Amino acid sequence: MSKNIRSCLAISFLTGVCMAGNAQAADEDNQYAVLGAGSYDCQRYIEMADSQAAPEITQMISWMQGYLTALNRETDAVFTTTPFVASTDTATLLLNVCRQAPALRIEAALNELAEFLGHYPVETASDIIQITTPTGTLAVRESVLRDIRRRLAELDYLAPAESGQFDDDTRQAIVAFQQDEQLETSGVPDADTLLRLLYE
Amino acid sequence: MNKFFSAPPALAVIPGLYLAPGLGNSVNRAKKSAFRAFSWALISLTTAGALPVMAADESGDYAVAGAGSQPCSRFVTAANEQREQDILLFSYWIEGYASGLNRMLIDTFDVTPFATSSPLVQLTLSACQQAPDRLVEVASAQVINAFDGLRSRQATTPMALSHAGRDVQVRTQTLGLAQQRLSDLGLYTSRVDGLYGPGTRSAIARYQTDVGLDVTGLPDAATLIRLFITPAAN
Repeated sequence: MSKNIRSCLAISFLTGVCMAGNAQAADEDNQYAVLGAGSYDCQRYIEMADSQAAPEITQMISWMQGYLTALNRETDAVFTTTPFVASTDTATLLLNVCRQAPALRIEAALNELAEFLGHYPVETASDIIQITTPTGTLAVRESVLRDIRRRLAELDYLAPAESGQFDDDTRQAIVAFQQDEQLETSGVPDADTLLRLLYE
Repeated sequence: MNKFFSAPPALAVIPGLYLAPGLGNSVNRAKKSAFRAFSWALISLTTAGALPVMAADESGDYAVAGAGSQPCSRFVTAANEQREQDILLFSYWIEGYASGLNRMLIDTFDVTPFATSSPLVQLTLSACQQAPDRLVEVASAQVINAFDGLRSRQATTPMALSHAGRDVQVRTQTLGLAQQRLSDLGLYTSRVDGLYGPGTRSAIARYQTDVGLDVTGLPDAATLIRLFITPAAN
């Protein structure tokens, strides 16, 4: 992370004025200003991830969350563009997009990712369900779980039933799907499974 | 932490995710992307105060993720206690939020007239101090709405101005708006052209003296905020 930016933001609270670092990149085609961390190249994000630079990554995720919130706000009939509850899932996907094009601006990579995830937007708010996994818990939106079950039923892994609950049948259906798709058999709708089920 | 992050890495193949044309010759649009898993195990997302939770906005229409979903009081406390890491989380969130709005809003280059983001962060903090129960996202949106008539419509390179050992960056359009306000106040009599000359400098200095700001003679953030946000109070 640019020392310039960090010190700039921190100092601004002490002096009231900050004009030192100008971390701003104009989008050349669509003409809008990208402020702060998102204006850097993907390479920078890759490096901070690879070096496990915890504070910087946390800040980058915070930037990402702000950006996605604005997209949620300004996209009609969409509650959230990303089906994941955990921001680390989205951050991982962003990292993977970045790895494909290290010279790409982080904001452009995120925009690309949001556009992809937006093919399956979450349209309304629903409860967040905590599912027990072998290593902890996984949070899933009830509406997303409902769609996962519907999709599993379409693929003949599960008897059709309108439910947003996670039961043993769902777990077994997911295990079978994961085995067939050569995904890790976690038995829960983790990010990989969710992408494979809903985005293909 | 779910399996997506654990070793051995799970591979998720996502068709259809390609990079926009012209962004890289090496990228084949039709190629399926192999998604690599990544371990965030060392990354604590619960740094001190700012928990990255989610909330719906007050109308329930859209999800607010991360620092913006925190009540304003968290931001105010972080600032009061000078907890730099937490302040940075809020600052980065606000920058991301403004960038996303810039991306989405038609006829908008930047939602604020400033050439940097720190005035927006500071104003959000001020708005938070006035209503600690609101979400940070709400406070930030209110500040941005207050700039509705002043936002940067077109991409311009900020001018770098120096005077008496201080530097600021300002857009021509923004300086033009400032000149207009100063003119309305009877402090500026030259042409409103967005250019920084002796007339603009002395008008700014007089204004700064009148309202009790640091007399820099420059269109710094504090001066622009005062000029734009509180014209009635002048």
